[in-house]
Amino acid sequence: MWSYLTSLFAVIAVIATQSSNFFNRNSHTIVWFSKADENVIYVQARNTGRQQAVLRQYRLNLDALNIEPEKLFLTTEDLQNVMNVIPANGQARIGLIVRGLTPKQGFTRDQILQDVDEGSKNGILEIAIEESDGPRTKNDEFEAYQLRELIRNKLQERKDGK
Amino acid sequence: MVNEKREWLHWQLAAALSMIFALQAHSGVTTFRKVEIELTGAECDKAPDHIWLIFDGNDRDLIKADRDRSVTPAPCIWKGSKEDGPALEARRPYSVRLQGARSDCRYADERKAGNEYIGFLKFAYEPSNAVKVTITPDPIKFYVSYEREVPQIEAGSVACLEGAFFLGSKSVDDVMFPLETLRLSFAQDLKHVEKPDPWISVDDPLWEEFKGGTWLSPDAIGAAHVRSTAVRPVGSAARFRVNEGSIVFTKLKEKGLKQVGVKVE
Repeated sequence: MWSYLTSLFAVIAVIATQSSNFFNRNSHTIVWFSKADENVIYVQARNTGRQQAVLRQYRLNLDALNIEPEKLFLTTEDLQNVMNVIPANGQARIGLIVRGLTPKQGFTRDQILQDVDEGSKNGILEIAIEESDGPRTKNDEFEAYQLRELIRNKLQERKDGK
Repeated sequence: MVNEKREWLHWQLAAALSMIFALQAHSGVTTFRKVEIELTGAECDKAPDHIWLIFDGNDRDLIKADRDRSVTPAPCIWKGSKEDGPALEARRPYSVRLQGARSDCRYADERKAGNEYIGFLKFAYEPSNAVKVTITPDPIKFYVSYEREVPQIEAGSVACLEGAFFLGSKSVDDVMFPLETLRLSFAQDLKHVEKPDPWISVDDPLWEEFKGGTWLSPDAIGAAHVRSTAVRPVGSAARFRVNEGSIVFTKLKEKGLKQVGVKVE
């Protein structure tokens, strides 16, 4: 009986390992907001798969605060260190530069800053990722209040005055 | 007899289940964010005030540690913490970069301090002649991936692989031959950065063999080091032409790489 049990557990262990390998054969990346200063948003990325992933494009969605969506850019240092490549079973922290933020039509800078200080709105980070089995877009929702210094620094009045 | 068999079966099942629960419990790894590093050796007080800790082979996410000066005279203890990202685990390799020296790789001991765990690490320190290796691909728009392989050198140390990538020209700091082997590879796009092929190895036998030599041609490497090349002595720069010879160089030429500058200082 003991030998049957041993065999059974051995088979279960092998099946569990093989299934885990099978399900993780491609890259599988998650991203999340880490912190921000006046100019840069820091993002953590973790790849639990068995192949590398590449973070390709970055966008900040502050729709809830009536701010136009803004494309973000890797910092020069992270660009040189190729931090946007997330190795198999690895992680990285990247810095994303915010060049400027613009209010949506009909909203002023002061109105938006007041909303930010109230602290009830969320922002969304949208990151296009080249997983080993195809492109994906991953979002992370976070409290926009964490960007208050950055918004204060980067938000300008609309140039068209509308 | 039947009861005996049943009882025996129950015991076996209980043993098997305990084994599974024990394994599950073991997989619940303790994590921590703070580390204390002790450097041993007569000259440990000469080690720099700021050192860098490498966790789990990640050579691009260094953890800064500062010498503990809270007591006088300052002991050879450095303290650091990993502020964000996944926390640290004891049973993964750690090493330190010491601005002119590097350590072997070791696991940490986790100890409870109040309500939190702290990782403790101990490395032997002696001033050394570790070098800075600057790699410059031509054309410059190549991605360079490097891997540093350190074997287990004594009881208590563990073998480890450390590495990172970069675009264009950059230095790899505190490279210590013969303790480690440095492998370089080149990719023209991001898709192949992590596991590019082939590797160029810069290891100690080659380092010694070509010390003081002139230009190193791929033909000189020949069959003995089909996947390898070497660097010229400290303080000088070598350029490896990628237009002839071994499989390595043929493959690199196919990628569009003309030459690679390797400067050691």
